Amino acid sequence: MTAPLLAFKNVGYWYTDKQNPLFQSVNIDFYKNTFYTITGTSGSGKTTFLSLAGGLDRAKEGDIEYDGKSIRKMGLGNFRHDYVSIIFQSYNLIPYMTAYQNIASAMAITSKKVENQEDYILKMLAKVGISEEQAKQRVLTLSGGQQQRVAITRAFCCDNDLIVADEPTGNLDDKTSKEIVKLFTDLAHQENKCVIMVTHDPQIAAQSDVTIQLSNGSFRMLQHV
Amino acid sequence: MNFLKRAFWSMKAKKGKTLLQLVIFTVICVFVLSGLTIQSAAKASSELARQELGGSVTLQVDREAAMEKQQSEQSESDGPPQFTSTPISLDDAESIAALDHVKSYNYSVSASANAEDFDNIESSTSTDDSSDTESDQAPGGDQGRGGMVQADLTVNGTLTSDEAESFSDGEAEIVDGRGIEESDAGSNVAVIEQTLAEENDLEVGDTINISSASDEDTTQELEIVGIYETSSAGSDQAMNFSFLNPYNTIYVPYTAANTLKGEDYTDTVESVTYQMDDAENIDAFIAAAEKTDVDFDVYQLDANDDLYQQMVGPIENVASFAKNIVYLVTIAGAVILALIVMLSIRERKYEMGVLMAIGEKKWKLAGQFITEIVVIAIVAVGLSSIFGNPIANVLGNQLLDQQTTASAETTTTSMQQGPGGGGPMGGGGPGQAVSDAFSQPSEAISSLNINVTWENILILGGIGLAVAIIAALIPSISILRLQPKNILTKQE
Repeated sequence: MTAPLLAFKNVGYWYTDKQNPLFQSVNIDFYKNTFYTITGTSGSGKTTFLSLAGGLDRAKEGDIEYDGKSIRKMGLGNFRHDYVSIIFQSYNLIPYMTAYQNIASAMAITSKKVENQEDYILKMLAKVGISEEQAKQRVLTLSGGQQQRVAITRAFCCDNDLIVADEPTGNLDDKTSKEIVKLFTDLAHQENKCVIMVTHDPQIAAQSDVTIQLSNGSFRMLQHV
Repeated sequence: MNFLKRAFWSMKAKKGKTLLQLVIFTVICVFVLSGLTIQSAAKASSELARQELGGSVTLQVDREAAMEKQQSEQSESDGPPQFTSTPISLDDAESIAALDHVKSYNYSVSASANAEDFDNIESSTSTDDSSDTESDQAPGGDQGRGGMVQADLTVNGTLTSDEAESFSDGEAEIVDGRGIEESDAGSNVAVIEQTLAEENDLEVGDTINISSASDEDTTQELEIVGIYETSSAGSDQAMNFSFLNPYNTIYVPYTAANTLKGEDYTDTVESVTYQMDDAENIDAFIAAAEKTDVDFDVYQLDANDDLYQQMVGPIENVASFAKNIVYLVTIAGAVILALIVMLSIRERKYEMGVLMAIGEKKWKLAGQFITEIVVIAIVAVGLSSIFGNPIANVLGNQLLDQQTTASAETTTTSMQQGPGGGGPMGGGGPGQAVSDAFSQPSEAISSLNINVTWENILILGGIGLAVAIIAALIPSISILRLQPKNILTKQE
């Protein structure tokens, strides 16, 4: 059996009161080549769960392992630097940079090297519908959908096996949302990545391979055929 | 080194903010550089003045101690008060001259005499015949013998006339022949004033006869070796006393003056003026002199650095002010910049959160902000090195003008109050030196040669870098303590 890429081992999390945890004793494995969606009502802890998966926050109890190694031991900063790409609802692009510069900076930070980097980035942007001219514009001059495409391309170019996305389609129209979801599906299946996405939208959840429903601290996994 | 690229992209994208920071930093640098430049120019000028002037120390009788001694002796005996002065032996004078820091020295012996075979220059209100020994009273230099005698001439005995006060300060100048030289000691030669020479058809090579004012049997034949011209107007008292008329002053070797004063004065002098190699060494010289065998219960050493003090007084005030400018502007500038950078960095929390979420190291984030402000600092230092020079010149010389004016006003007040000592009859001594110094306020250094040097720019660069790093580091530390999740959550 294939080893999980990311494994939650008895993970518990609370804000201030241990007696009133957000969730407790969570054991979930995440695998490559799979597109996961996490759904749940507001305040159910979806974003917190994703933050733990992305190494933005620390579990209060239990451990999270990446490829069999504790991310706590390797350090959250190193984990983010070496293994994970994060995509947020608000795109999280550096506003004073161009689309190209945003991606080039992320690649430099994560030490991802390719030959002829400029051509590579422009080609990757072209794949998601961003022209060379748009790639050289300040990123804030692009539309929301275009910015999210840039953010996804940034994650793709960093070439990490784990991609976590927090409602990446939350600010987008239906048509663009579908295109973005298609990109994530392709990332998981064609590029052999593990994609974990938080969403409110049941239609998007239905397009994923596995949906994890959060409700009152309990997790229910739904496998889509 | 991506953080360097990011710093460049950020500065390029935020031109307005970058320009504002550059302007502020440049203004700060210009003031700091002006302060540094003025400070170093003032230091250089005062050092130059100190070395040029040198300063001098005079060995002479301690008149105050002598007066006290005389008063105590008077109370023991019923005789009339009589002021006695103990001349300085040449051995004592030379033992001090052998000490370190003495650039040169000169003896001074003052005597009074009457003209025997020539006419002195008459004072306008003088009614007596010039050769009449009853006409005038002797100069103060002869006070050692007590009582007041009458004289036509003031005889200044010296080792070298070039170093006599009138010659060294430019008031008197040799116009024919030569001055009194060290090798003239023991010979009967004289340097007389041009007007006196012309009135008596005297030339270099001629001889004149003078007699002592206190003992008319003591006469001397002097060969004229030089003629000088004086620009001194003399004192008001010269209207009444011929010997005070500057034309009636003759310079002779100190040995000749001693002969006029009498046998008791052989191998002695009234005072010795030691020229220092540097005014800074005056205290060390006096300390060394006090360890010699010279009896300092009888004699005293007076430092004559008033002219130096008057010259460098305003400049030292400017230097002190410039130093305060440097401190004040540096601290205020660092605070202002730190606040601006702090606000700017706080605005960039989101950017930091994003970069940390990607996995950027915190020190590289701080490095980016520091790079941005350091680049601005480097440009500001460059700009200020261009604009600093003219601004420092205007600022420095304006400050010096104010200081010089204030100093001149103080000097005038002091002169009105009277510097004390060295009155018209005193003929020398420290009081006279003070008076001379105060009478030449124009000698104060009135302009600074202000030039920005590489040393100034290097110091400015150091201060600028320190200010830039502190200004960027302090706000960075507080932001870097935050976690990316907190930053991004609050942002959203």
